Amino acid sequence: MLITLVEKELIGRTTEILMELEYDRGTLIIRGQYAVPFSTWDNRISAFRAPAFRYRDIVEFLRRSLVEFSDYVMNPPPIEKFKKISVPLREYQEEALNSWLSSGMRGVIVLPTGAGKTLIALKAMEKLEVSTLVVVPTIPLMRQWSSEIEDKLGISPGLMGGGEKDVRFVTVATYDSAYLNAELLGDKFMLAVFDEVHHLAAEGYSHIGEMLAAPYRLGLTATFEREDGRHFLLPMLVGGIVYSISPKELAGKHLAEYEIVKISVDLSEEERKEYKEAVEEYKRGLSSIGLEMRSPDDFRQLVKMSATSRTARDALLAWNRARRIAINSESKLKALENLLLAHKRDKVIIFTEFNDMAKEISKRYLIPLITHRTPEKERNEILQNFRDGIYTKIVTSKVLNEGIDVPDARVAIILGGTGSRREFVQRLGRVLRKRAGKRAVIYEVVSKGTKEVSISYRRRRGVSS
Amino acid sequence: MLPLQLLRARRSGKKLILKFCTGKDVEMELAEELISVFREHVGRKVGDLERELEDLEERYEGIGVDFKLVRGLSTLLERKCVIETKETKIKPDQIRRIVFERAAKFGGFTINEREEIIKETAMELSLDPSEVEELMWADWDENKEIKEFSAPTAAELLKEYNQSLLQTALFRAIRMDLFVKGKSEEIKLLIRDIKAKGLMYYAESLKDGIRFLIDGPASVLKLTTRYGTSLAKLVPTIISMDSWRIIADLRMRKPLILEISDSSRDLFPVREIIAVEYDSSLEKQFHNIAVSSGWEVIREPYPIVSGGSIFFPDFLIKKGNVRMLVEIVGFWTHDYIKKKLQKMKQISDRMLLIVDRNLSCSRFFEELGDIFYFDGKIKYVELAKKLSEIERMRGEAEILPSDVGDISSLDEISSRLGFDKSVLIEKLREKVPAGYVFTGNLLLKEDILKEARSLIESCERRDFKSISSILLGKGIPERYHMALIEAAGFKVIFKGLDESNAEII
Repeated sequence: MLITLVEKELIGRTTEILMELEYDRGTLIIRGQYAVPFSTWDNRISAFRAPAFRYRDIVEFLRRSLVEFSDYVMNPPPIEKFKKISVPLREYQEEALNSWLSSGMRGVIVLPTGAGKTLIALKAMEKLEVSTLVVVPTIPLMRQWSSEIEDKLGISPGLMGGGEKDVRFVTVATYDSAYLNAELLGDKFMLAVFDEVHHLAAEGYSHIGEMLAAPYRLGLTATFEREDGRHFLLPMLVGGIVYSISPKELAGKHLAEYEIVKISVDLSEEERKEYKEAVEEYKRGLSSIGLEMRSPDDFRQLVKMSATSRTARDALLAWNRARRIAINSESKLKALENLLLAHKRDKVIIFTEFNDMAKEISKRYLIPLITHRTPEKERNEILQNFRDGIYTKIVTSKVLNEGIDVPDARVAIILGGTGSRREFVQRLGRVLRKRAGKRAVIYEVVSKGTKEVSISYRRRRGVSS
Repeated sequence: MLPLQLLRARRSGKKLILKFCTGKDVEMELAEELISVFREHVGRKVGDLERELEDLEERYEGIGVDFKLVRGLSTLLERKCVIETKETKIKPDQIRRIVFERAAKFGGFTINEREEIIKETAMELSLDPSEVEELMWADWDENKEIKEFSAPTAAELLKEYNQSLLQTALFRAIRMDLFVKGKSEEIKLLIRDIKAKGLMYYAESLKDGIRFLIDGPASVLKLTTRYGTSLAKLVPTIISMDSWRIIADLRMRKPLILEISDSSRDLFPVREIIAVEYDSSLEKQFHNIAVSSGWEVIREPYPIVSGGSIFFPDFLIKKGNVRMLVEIVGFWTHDYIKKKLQKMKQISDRMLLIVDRNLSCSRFFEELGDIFYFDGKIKYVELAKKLSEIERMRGEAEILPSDVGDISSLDEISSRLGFDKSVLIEKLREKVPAGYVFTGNLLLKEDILKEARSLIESCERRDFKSISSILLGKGIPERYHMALIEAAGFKVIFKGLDESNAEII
């Protein structure tokens, strides 16, 4: 084809040149005599260029316009055969899948954590039988998806992330790795599955969505909305919400029932003093730079100013100090002790906001610790022991937040945490894995009379009944 | 390269001014002190080093040194350290496993039994209880050990910092305008670098050097800082060139311009450019044969900018007053040939092409210049013969080769012979080949002009269409008609848009 083109150019015949679509590092190159939508003239190559994610739109446009064209865009890895998935879907999973299929194989499915999103995606892959990229937030999740794919579809997927770089018919990549290698991955997959799809809307990660040509896209999440509002990008990059069901609708039937118990603790004398000092320094700083805290934007303003203003920086440090005192308070550890004693026989997962706190708890109470730095082998061993009942307590910072299959704990204790609603829902989900007759308890331990109380209020909005 | 938070710069209007280290006393002092702090901590814990660095940072902040400078320099020094978990007989995770399993017997946590468990574990492993506490967490980052540190000098550190600072600012670049002057070798290296980093360029030839507009494939679709990191990675290559100027468009909170040139050369480390090896053995073969035939051979003489991209002829050969560019077309893929043809078609210099006969489209090179075909290997005798033929032909053809044809336009001749049109006109003013007339935009045989004049005079119908068909009947291509009629001393007066109705007087 290329050679014929050359000949035509050289002979100087300017008669009909076929339309040609070609992939180039996260973009499409469109040659030929017709203009197509979403494309821009690129002087550097004397052809039109469009973002790769418009591939489907452009092909549909050309077909509708009855224009003949050659399509060299997709370049998938060698095909591999899936085996049939033996596990049946639950009713709502079936509904979710059908809804996605009938929406043109684009769109987001919103399901609570623990409701079996992975299985829906695997069924979709089984149905389509096309090259597929699964994008996940963390390396543990990448491994987990990988073993699910091996188990249910009977093929071993390629992995991208955590030092691995292997592209196969089905490939699982972390968002980080997919971002870095988007140019390379863009033409390889017909279907893209985004686990925890709300991440895709982040400024950098949105490039993944833009640079993939994949005409079929599936997003999975428990929380579609982002606090920064950027989820407005998702309908363009993945498709709109095609199915949604809330934890409340599933509680009892498919998920364990749960209750939330809030425990307020007092700061110690010393902590209270330090806390007060820090808060006052923070306020002094604010008033001397003339900033009032009325919305998250004002806070962002402070962070920006701290790059150039010494006062703003000190105010910010004071705020951090106050927050750390409130979150890591000694009285919280006392409360934790009481809860541990009350649940001596139960499986308990303890969540902390900061690594330091998690380490302190592990050190002090000799409870196995999982942080993002825990080697994979050790983490798996700890989780396995927890599942087998050898260990009955685990402490973790933020690692277990998302999607990782944690064995069925009955009790979750949250020591501090940010005001993000998503994080709370996900942690909640950990203990909500369906177990007959199990009623889960979630303890939330906050410091009385500190800003944390309002953070906790924000977190529960829309979750507790 | 540093984390973006450690960028040190100020804004001046629309420009971003980087705060480079100029080697002031306080900077040298700081660099020296940091280096010695790192050196002293070899064999000690990372946590200890970090505490020491925090103190040092505070101390320097007290005398007005930006904490970002201290952290920036420390970051660079950290990269010169080998940091590992302390080697012990028993691995930390093994100790942890024993301790956690013991604790599991008490409900998975311990409040009162802690000491006892540590003691029992110590006995089991024949360690001290304090050693158990120490070793159990030895693989936490803050407990790791600094094994090695390769210390730079203070001056080296500051220069490395400056380069890193420039690169860090470029993280936020959406594109880079680069003005360079340099040897072919350097430019070639730069282009190789641009391509290897997944970037694209559009080149323009300036009076004094080449301008590169560098960004990435998706940059035409939207302004993106995606290619910032790749642009930053070009810095070492750029700053080691003879002459350079960077103008980068940055997207910080606001759009800003970063401008820097070789006048700041002394701020940066020096890097040697590594010479490019011969691309292929064919080039070596050609070089040897041409030299032994008495030609002066200059490898990669100068880059030629055309249509936005850059073409590097393989050789310039000289002998007496004959000069010629040489390009070897051996290795090929369809795509390669296509690009090469596109590039070469736009070059007006006369070239000698050494082409592999087995190229399926080798014949398309014929219109581009003199051709020498080879089969796999360049044969000495054949090439030497071709070269002497060229020498003879070119030597004789002082002004124009004899094959101008009956009639040609100057544009056609200039593109065919590789002279610029203005050069051609100059040459024709000096001397017109015997039997030819040079008039307007045409060079044609005197006979043809005479014949055309009498044909037009004798024609009864004075419209363009009729006269044109007569000329066509004489075998003169239509594209010359208008110019020929005027050259013959007639005027063409248009009556409306359709030229066929034009009146000839």
